[in-house]
Amino acid sequence: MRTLLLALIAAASAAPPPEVDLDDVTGWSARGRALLEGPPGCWELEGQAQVRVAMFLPGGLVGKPQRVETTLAGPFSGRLEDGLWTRIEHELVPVGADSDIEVVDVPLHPMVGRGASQDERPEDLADDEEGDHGSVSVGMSGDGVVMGAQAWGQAANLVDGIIETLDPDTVMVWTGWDEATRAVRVVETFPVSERASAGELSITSLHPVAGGPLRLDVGFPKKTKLGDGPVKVTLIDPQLHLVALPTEHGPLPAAESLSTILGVLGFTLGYEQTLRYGVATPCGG
Amino acid sequence: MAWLPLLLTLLPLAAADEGDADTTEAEPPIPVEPAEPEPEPSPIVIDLDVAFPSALERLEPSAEAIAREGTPELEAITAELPELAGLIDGGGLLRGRFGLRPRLAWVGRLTEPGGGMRAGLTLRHQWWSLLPLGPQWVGESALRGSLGFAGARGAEASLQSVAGAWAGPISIAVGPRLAWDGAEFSSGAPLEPVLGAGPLAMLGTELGPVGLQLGGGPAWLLAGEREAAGLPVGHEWYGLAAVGVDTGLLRWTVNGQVRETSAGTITELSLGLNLALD
Repeated sequence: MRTLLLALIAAASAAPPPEVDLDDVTGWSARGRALLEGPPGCWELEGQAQVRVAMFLPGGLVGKPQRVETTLAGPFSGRLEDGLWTRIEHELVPVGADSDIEVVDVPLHPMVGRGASQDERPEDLADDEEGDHGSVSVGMSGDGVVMGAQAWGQAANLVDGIIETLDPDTVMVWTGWDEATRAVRVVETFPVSERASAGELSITSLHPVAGGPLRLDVGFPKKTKLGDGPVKVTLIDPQLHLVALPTEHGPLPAAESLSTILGVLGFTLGYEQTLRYGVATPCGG
Repeated sequence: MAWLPLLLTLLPLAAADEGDADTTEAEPPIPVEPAEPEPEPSPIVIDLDVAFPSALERLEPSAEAIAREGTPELEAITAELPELAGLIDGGGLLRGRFGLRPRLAWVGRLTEPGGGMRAGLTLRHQWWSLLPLGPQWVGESALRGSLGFAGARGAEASLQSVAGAWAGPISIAVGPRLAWDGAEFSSGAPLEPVLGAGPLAMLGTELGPVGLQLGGGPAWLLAGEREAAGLPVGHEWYGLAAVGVDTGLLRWTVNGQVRETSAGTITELSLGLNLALD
């Protein structure tokens, strides 16, 4: 990463309780990032997952633009060891009526925790043929659209991986007091490109001082073009959301969602993944 | 007396050592009580009902539009108009793509011998909206150029841009067209080169794998030496018809164009074969 300029700002439009130190910008920022790491120690997590895939077929004067969509839902479970997913499984099945999209394989990408890197890959995953990279493939068959995706191997959590890809020069962090929710609001912003007009990625976390769910939202510019060559990928309104419960063991993820619309070469693909955690059990339980 | 605490600490250890030595010979070993099992960690139930916004929301019908489902479509269209304002602001509801394709066509008069071939390129940009309700806006701009050979001489170039919408199974689009063309054939009167412009209206429909397109409009000659054709509206008339058939990954298209000119009706026919990657 290039030299990172860090600006820390504390601001409050209304007075926070005296025990709240808004000037501890780095501390509040770290608390926000801790939500992405997950609880310390080893945890078995299970819950319900839902993935929606919407495919928009190009239209013209002769052919009408079309939208085909499918929703998959089912239980998921995994083991999170000190922020590292050493196992994650799901049983997603199509929901509702028959869809024109046949989803071959869709991995889950939790916001919380890190995927196992090559070095950290557990023994039982060593022979996994999924590879240590990510890919999304979309194709047409005679019956409809076939979509497949596979990924494994990001060493950072999803948000940090995105920031690492953007390789920003600067980051601005500010804290403020949100009187309506009685919470400390922490906002980090990163430029998504060297072009000033490209907009910013923002990470906003909310920390209620009286307890209650913690929240973290990641927002992008409404439209972000990636790639330097003639083929560019357009990300439309990507966003990530996370709610965690504060417990004596640390923040436990409660629900999370990531969604984006992706456009490339006339294809437009909408993707939404929602994970609702139901039970968290310390390992050995 | 700084050594006193240390001594007090060591005394029990010494006593224990002595005791151990005694019991090894005189007393049977004291059975060790099994350790209390570690209490099993109890699962934590997470029960939090929370709704998140989603990128896909912007492509969903608005709640108001869904509530009005079954009312005249015009109302639904009107309700979506505020959202249409967001089409142009980079909100992402419009998508487009460029395409470049070679072109090979026969050109001539159908009633006379002496036609020839034209070959060239078409640079095209299509755009369409992702709105699920109301009219689905579409548009297309095309820059085309080709040269005559094999019986036809001369060149033609045109630029047209139309925009419209799909309403049910029908698409309607209108826009301007600017064209320059001229041709000489092995027989028959030559087509003097001229620059013409005029409006273009196009009508399309889709019947399963078959797409049909009809279009046309008058043209006014802006420059050149060709005489007007003596039509009620404009100096010349331009018309087109296209049929496309999807067969899996291949799309076959047959295109026909006619020009009513003072030098007769000039027809151009082409057969296209596209990879239907969309």
